[in-house]
Amino acid sequence: MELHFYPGQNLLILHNKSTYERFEAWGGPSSMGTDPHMAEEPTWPGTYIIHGTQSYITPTWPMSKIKWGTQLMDRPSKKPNESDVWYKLKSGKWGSVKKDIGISRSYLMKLNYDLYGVRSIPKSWLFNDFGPLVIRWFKDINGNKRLDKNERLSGQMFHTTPINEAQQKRGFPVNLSNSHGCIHLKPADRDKLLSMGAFKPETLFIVRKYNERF
Amino acid sequence: MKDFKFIIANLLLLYSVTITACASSKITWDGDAVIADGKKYEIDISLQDVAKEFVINKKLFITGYQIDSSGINYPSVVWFNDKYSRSFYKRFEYDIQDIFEYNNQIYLLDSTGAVFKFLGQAWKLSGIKLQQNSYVIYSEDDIIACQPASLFKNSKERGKCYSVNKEWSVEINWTDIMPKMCGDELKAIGRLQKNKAAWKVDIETGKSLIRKDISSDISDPCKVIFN
Repeated sequence: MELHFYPGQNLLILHNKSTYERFEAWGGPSSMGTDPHMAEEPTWPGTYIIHGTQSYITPTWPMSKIKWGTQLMDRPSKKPNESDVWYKLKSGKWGSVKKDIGISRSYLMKLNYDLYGVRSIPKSWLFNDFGPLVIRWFKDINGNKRLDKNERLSGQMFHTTPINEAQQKRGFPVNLSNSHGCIHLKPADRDKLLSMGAFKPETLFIVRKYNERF
Repeated sequence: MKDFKFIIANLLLLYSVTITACASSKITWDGDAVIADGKKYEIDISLQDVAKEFVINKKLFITGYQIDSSGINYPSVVWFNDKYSRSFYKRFEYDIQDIFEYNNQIYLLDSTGAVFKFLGQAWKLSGIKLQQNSYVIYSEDDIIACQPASLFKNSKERGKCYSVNKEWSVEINWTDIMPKMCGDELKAIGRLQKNKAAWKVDIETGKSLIRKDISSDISDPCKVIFN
């Protein structure tokens, strides 16, 4: 089984024996972008090996400091500046979204309304920029299909987005868009590819050039 | 020497009177009562969550949410009669961003950019329209508002500040620190790539300057010095 990504066609091909299955997938732009927070970059062409799946957190993006699905507790207050939303820490204690992420209860409420059409604090964190899980890959320098000490995981990865997850959950059309260099998938396609074993470790993954066509 | 002591004593007295006057004239909401003129007026309001309070022309407005039994939050604003013996409220369809004074009238801005005029007991949609998710930074002879950059990685919503009357717009990548007026200049703190950056905007022309080497300690835009 092999994966081939054609960024110029927003197309991911799953090649299994003699069959080729097509999936919509969007990478970065073909040239550097202008996002003032972090410039968008192309999805770099090359031959890689799938490393596996994981839930992902990063301090680079505020909404991604908390793992997707982390339990939340609503803490409204009639006192100004005291309302908050708590999130469950690994230790079992509760952390403050306001203090740790810098996001107010009302901001979170608005996000949930914008995404899910509900004016309430959700039971769990649905705002991680990378969705519930990411699929990671690496350049296999010595060709043994394993991540060795001198090899490192790419910062680019397959993932879904909060808006696409919400569209899927609400039964709306799922509209993909360019990433900062990662590859965006539809949630249903991610699940299907996972169930087909396309993201098993050691799977060959090739990112084609932007001008290449399938 | 005696005269000098007298002057100092008078200055101290004047200072203490000023402090008392300032403290007693403050109007605020403390969770179950309005504190005004140094007195506490206990009063129930129909909000279960208070987001912000605004005092405009000695009138207190509280924004927040009415929460029903199923946990649904309705954006609402609360205000009071002059004796703080009665509270009033109005639900809005969209989140309340800001309340501000412009041309001696009080306005409420919602997250879609719709602006409602306060008519004493009612809020009527005005002819003013701002951009979505804006906050009003200045509203004397012009309305200057700012929109934060989205916190989502994949959003195309860039932060900016703009003038309603003079029609300039400046891209400013701010998120959590609200831009503010520092004298005649608008200043803001945000980020450019990995660096903390600051912006200074001439509110007449919209011409801006950027400093890309701001210390991470600075959180007050007015403390940023531009050469």
